[in-house]
Amino acid sequence: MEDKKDFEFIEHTADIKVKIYGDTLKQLFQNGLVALFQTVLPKAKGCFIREGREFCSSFPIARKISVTSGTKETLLIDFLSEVLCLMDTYDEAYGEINIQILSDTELVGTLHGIPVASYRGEDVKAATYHELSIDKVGDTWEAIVTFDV
Amino acid sequence: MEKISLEVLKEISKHIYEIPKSYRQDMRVPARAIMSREMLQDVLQDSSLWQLVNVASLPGIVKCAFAMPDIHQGYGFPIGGVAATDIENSGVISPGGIGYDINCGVRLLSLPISAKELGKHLEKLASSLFSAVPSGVGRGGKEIFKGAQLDRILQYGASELVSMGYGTQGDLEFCEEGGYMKSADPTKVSERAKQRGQNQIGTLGAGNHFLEVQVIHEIFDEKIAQTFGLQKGNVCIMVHCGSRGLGHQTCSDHVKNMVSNLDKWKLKLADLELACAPFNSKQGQDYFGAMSASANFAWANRHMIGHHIRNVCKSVLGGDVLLKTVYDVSHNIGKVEDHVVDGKACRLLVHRKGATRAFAPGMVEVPQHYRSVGQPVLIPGTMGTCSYVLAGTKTAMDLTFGSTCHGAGRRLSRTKARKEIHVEVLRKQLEGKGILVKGDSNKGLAEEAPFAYKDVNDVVKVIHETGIAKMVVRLKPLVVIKG
Repeated sequence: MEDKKDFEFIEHTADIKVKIYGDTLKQLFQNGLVALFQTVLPKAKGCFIREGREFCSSFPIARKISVTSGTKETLLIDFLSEVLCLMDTYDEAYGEINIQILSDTELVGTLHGIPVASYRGEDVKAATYHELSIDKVGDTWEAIVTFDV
Repeated sequence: MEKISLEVLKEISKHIYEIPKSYRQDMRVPARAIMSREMLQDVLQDSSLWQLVNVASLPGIVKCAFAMPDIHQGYGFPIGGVAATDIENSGVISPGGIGYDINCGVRLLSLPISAKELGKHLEKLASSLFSAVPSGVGRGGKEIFKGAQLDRILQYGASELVSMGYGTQGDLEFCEEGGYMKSADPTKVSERAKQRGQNQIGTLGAGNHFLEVQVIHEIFDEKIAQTFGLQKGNVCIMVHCGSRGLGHQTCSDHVKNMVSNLDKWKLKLADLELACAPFNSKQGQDYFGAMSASANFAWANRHMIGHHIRNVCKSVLGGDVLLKTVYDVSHNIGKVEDHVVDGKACRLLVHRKGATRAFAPGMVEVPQHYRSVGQPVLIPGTMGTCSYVLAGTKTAMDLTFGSTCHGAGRRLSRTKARKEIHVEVLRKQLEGKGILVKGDSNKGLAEEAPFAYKDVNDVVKVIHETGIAKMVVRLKPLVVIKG
């Protein structure tokens, strides 16, 4: 059986637009992190690219993250912005997150990542609020996010 | 996101098309696109003009929301747009109208030698520049600036670096704002933004940022070229970059702040990324102080790169080859400026997002040495084609708040660009044109292929014919260092 899609790139003239999927809101946020990781494509030990996607044997670094926001939509962007800030500050990239608390206005969790010397993917400047949406379509949560690159 | 159809646009003069205020109920002013009919057909394929209509609905916007011929779809505001708000009448400031890369801009340095004289040193110069100026995502610089020292750079920009021994007073004279905005307030830049920026002064970054060695290929206006110190056949170095992680974080912090305060001002926006605050509110002033400090950081960044370039040139070409800064302009910025609107003098906040200031001859903001001919306007093209130096005009003051285009403007998405060319083919094509290419990212190189952009010659032709800047010289690349 084919794996369920976690995210996909959508056409945009200058920036990177992604559609993110999740069976639950928690998985939607986890896959938002995956979409960012697969956009920046870190160059790191123990990681390799196959069919345009990066795989890492492990994520040895753990870093706490805590974000609050006004709505679940802005929480998703503020979460991804916080991840970008941590990436740039510590020269790390995060491929997984263990979410301990998730409500419409708060996320608390532990990011798991790798030390990074440089990237082979996009220089993501920011996660933007542009045309941001989170909807439940049938049984699936879907979000649209645009990264400024 | 919706698109605009051709019949909505009314041609009001050659190259100027208008979407009337009546097009959508929330528009406060018309939206104007400055471009040729052919360009317009292309622009209508994406949502750029719909985004421009959204901008035309911002509180306090005056005259028109403008799209330059290099416009393309962005996030919130289109890229290649100008919007001015009346700050004495509740006009707003919007971080999205300036961009995450605050004071992304261009610096041009000239060398007193010809491309022919450079000849045998070219490969050495290219390699030395590539190793002296860190480029690529996440690449930091050699110098670390933090604490009070970083705060002074945020306050005084490139000027602070001169007092620390980097670069010269002459570099400041030929820089927009003299290298720093006096409105900077480093206390409004978050500690996390400062932490991100502490090792990024003197670095290019990635994406469409670049450093190019160029030759002055064609002169269109001999008198102005001479005033700018530009001679046919001579070599220049162009640098395109901005405020790096510090600017990105500053914008993110303040957009978040404004999003959470929108209800306070009862602002209903067409897109959340247009988040804004009245310029004279606390949130508006906090952002303006932080934006100005981030802009100063960007000027310090390009100034430091200029310093590294100068050292490389000394070592490769000899100590008597003196580099001169021709000019340094910002194309992502918000400025408080006085303009005449409907015959009345107004104090405005001019948002330029992917647009360059193009001030006219005689204005005090133009360096004394250039004042008789107008401000130099630096327009980077694509790596396989050419770049331009233009001069600001009175027409720009009258039509577009003294603003003009900022580059070629993207027309193909990054994915499409990558699909259309293999990077090795692209490298060979560029080498075939005599252009040396340096860059670690093959993906990045393919995405910046010349065909992914509009033809910069067409863009500049429209600008020149509309009169919102005047063609002075065309430069061709010899070396391209990609971020």
